[in-house]
Amino acid sequence: MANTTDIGLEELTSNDVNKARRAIEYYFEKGWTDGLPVVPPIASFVDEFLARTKRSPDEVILTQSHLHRACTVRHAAINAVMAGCLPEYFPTLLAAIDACEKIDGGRGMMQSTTGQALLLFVNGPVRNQIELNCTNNIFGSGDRANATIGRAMRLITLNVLDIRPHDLDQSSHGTPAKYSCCFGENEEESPWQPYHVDKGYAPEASTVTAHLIRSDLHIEHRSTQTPEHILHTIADSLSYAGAIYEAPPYNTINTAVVAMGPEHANIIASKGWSKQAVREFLYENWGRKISDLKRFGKVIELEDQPDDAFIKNSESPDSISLVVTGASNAGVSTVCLSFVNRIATAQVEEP
Amino acid sequence: MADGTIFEHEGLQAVAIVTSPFLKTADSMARRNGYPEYRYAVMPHPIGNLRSDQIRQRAEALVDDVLSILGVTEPGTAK
Repeated sequence: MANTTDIGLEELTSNDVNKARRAIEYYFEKGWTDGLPVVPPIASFVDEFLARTKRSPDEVILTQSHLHRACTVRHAAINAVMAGCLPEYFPTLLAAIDACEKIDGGRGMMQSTTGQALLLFVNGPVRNQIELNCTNNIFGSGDRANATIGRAMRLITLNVLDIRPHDLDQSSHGTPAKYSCCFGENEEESPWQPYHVDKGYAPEASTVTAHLIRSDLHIEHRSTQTPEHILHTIADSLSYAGAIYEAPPYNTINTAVVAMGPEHANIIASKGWSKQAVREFLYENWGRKISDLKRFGKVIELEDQPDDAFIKNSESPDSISLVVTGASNAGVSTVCLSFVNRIATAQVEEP
Repeated sequence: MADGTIFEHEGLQAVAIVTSPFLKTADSMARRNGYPEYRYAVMPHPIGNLRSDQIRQRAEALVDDVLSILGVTEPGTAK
């Protein structure tokens, strides 16, 4: 632990620190936090962020019309300061907000009892420019850009959109991903072209993709060189009993982000599999047999089907977003599930 | 609750039915839509796992409240 001399703050008096603490406590008293301390957003801090965009501070960029709430660029900057962002993160945060607005701000789903969180993943050069983690521990904590960009989105949801737990956020359990869920694609170790290029963006463009999720599930497979072994393991993980809401038509709107570790991706690609082939395989195998659904008591409107009939849990291969991320140190992937088709990508504006 | 208050705003009579864990959310939603005193019917929770005959019983138990909120009857007088 550094002392104040080590970090050049010897001129700080205890009075200064106490004032800062009082300011932090004021934000707790107002309820303007996610339960963690926030950086007091004094005007000069906010201006540093607004200087990073050509957009007007008063431009409305995210709405929840049914709640009569709207987020402006200035609101975003205030909450970015509070979240602990650096000013250079601001264009990435604005793209995250643009992507969120494209999915109608997650309208309604941010208030669902299923407790949806906003997953953000980033592509393109901006990842390295802002030191966004794309490798080890991408779903964990410890990297400022990942932690604070996702947190800024959460603070906007709370403070600007006014969707708060115990009130308009009706989550039964929620997920720790609500604190922050933001990572970069590990484009450098992926055998395939990046996600944003799949979506028609230039490789040199930077993008943020937003997807509502209700869970992230860890997947192990370290002992095979056979793509189908890995893919069946991932498909089975997508299909766990608790993820099955009830019965069709609900399951046909399931979507998922498959965050595939580079080790898995490279084993699969080395045998000639394209990303589309992976998505098609997962689509075909994401689901359960009627016999399983009967065992779970989740067989409404399917009672007449034979026991070995396979009920798919998604609508098409496009229900699956495949992104390569994480460290190339183990056969690990993660699936992030949702029961709504709310995913969109937006480009990070140039400085 | 959002739908109920929107109908109200459009001049269409409606009654929102809310299960018991959602009362605070219902009040918040009504307040945000400009109806801080909005009356609604309350049903015990849960309902998602009820059979059709059970949900019918729940519905029948609320008829009095629903008619009262609609202004058809005085509270406690519906048959």
